[in-house]
Amino acid sequence: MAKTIGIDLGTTNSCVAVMEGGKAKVIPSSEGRNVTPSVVDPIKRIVGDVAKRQLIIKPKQTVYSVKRIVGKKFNDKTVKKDLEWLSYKIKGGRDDMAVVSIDDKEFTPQEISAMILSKLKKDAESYLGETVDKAVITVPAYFNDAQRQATKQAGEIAGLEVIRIINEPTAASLAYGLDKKQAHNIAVYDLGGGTFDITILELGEGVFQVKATNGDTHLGGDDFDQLLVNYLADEFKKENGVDLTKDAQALQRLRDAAEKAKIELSSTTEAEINLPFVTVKDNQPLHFVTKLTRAKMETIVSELIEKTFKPVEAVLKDAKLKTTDIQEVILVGGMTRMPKVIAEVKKFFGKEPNRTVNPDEVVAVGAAIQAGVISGDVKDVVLLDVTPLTLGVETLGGVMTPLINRNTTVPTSKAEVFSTAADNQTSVEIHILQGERPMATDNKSLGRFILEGIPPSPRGIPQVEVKFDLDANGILTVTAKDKASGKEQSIRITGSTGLTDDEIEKMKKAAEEHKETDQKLKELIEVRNQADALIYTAEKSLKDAGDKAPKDLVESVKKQIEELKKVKEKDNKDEINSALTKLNEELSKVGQHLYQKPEDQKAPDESSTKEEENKNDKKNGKVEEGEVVN
Amino acid sequence: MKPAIEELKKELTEKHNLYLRALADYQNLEKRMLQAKDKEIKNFLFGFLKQLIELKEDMDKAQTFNQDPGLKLVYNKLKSILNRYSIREINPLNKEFSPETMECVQTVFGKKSNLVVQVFSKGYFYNDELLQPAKVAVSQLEVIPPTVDKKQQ
Repeated sequence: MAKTIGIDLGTTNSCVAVMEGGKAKVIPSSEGRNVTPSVVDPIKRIVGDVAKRQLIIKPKQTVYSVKRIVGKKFNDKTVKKDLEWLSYKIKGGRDDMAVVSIDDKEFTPQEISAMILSKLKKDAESYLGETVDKAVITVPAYFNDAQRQATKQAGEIAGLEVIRIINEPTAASLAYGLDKKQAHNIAVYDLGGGTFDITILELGEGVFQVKATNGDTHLGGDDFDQLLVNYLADEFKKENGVDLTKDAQALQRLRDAAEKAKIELSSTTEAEINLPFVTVKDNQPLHFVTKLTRAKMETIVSELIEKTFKPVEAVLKDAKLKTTDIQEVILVGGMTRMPKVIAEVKKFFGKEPNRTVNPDEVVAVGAAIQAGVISGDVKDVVLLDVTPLTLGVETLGGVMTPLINRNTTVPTSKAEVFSTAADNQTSVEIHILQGERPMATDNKSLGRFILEGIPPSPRGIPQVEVKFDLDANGILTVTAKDKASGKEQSIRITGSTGLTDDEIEKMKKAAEEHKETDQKLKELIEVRNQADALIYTAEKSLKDAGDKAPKDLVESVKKQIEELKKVKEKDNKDEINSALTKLNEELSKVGQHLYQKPEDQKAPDESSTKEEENKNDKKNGKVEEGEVVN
Repeated sequence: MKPAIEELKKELTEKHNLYLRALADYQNLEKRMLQAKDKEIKNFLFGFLKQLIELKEDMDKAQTFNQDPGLKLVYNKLKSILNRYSIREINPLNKEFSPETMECVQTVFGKKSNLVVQVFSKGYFYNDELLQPAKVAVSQLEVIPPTVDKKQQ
């Protein structure tokens, strides 16, 4: 079945994505990048990176920012304004619509856009290995009917049936799955390479409506770069008296360095500009080495960031809303990676903006999701759920032992073998827990049941298999089975995923907050369990050895056992550990002593193999001690 | 009874198709994961090579000023490393401009049109893949003022 692609046809860059296995995937261009510059040489039919490289030498033949004139009349005010700085020629065509004129040939903006779309289509086809003939294309919220119609025509010229034109902010909201959330008013802050858009969407019964939109058609990442270049050139001039902007090669290197520093400063607090041999003065080479801190950069570009908030205020006024009425804020466009932009948006709206989806790709991703919904792709794929929280059982010492980890795709099942914690224990309690905390009491209890009828045997010997089976509907069936007697008991829990998103978030957060203390507590319990096991082994060894062991040694072992019993109840892990080591030493002396008497071999041998077994079981992780009930 | 059987048959076929689809999805995912891994390695390699190339470009410039024989040895060593990793260098000086492998940064007045008259930084290939286009100044019969800057004014 042919796939429908989602296309973000941008002013400076375009991006294409497709639904694959229930998820939107951005399709890389033939140049290996996730975005394609919206630049075209219509005569030679060159599109993207290659066309961009010849922009300076063929400014009249290379078309960029064509989105600014698509579907507009030649005498439109904005076209007249763009005319002043666009390097290619625009004139009035049929019905006085704005058309691009190159070497006496005329190209409608639709045709130019179609060339971009054709390339994206080709890239998608080579990625998917099949023909693509349907697409969802996004447009800015402020596009009028003529502009939308023209965009649709562009798709048709490119051989794509445009099954829907959707608004860019709507696509971004879809990418964040906001159609399924309770949000009512959504603000989409889109700061791209050359334009800034702010849109307020209202969501009602799964339908997005544009309440108001505003922006600045000439504000974007390029302006930020330019300010940085100016600043750096000034710094160099102050120091060396040479104007780097007058030297084409130096300027080029400075531009590259400024953009790189800008990107670097999104993740680091300091970037180094290091341009050796940047220029020559009096036949002497000059180098440019300087450090740019994030704070400095932020002051340099602060006016640009501030500039975006005027339209933001205006849009709220138009929508008759206050910042507190906005439930979700979404960041779109590469410039929203800048920490200062994120911080300012957060400050303004008083809430953390959504920014987990790559801001360069979020619109295309949303378009692909819309495409998938319309073409039924989304329904076709079995959408499998994941368990939001870890499921497990309570084991010795009140520890939560996980069986199914969180984020595991369901349906799934997992079994583990547990054992008893005391001699002659005839029943075990299976306590089912949900959550991320290591201690049972800190997690949510989903249910408990008792498996009875385990034949009496020493601790650690019975094998109780506990199986968790979580089906696609989130119904958890827990079965416990004693391998020796074949006795079985089970429970069905239907509410295992019945937590609200808030509850899940709360539990995850709590786990994160208590991570350290929880870990310490868990370690303590583990040592305590070890102590328990050793005390048991030691007492058993003494009993087995009977009077074959020397009295003073027996006494000393007994003393150590008492000592360990005493410290084990305390909360000091190290103390328990040292008592544990001491008892171990004494105990091995008993073993040694018995080995030295070959005629008495039988008894110690038995005890040591048991110990071995215990250890082995632990190593293989097969047998863990279950909760003691009786 | 018969319609019920038909119904079940139909349902079974549907379910079987779903199963096959899931299996196919999984197998495709496996393939794509391998491709993704290759791509990741390549991305990392390209990122690293690009930085190394930047260093080499700096060294190129240093050669015009500094003739220290020791530094020359270091320079040669760096070049041989790049060579060993199949990095091919292109110096398009005096050649015709081609946007496939070059990026025009500046235009200058000249007697001929479309000729590379100055190379700001050379272009580099990794095997047959363009790692970085050469940045060049190109001659024009008439000088065209740079367009990118115009927007900023």
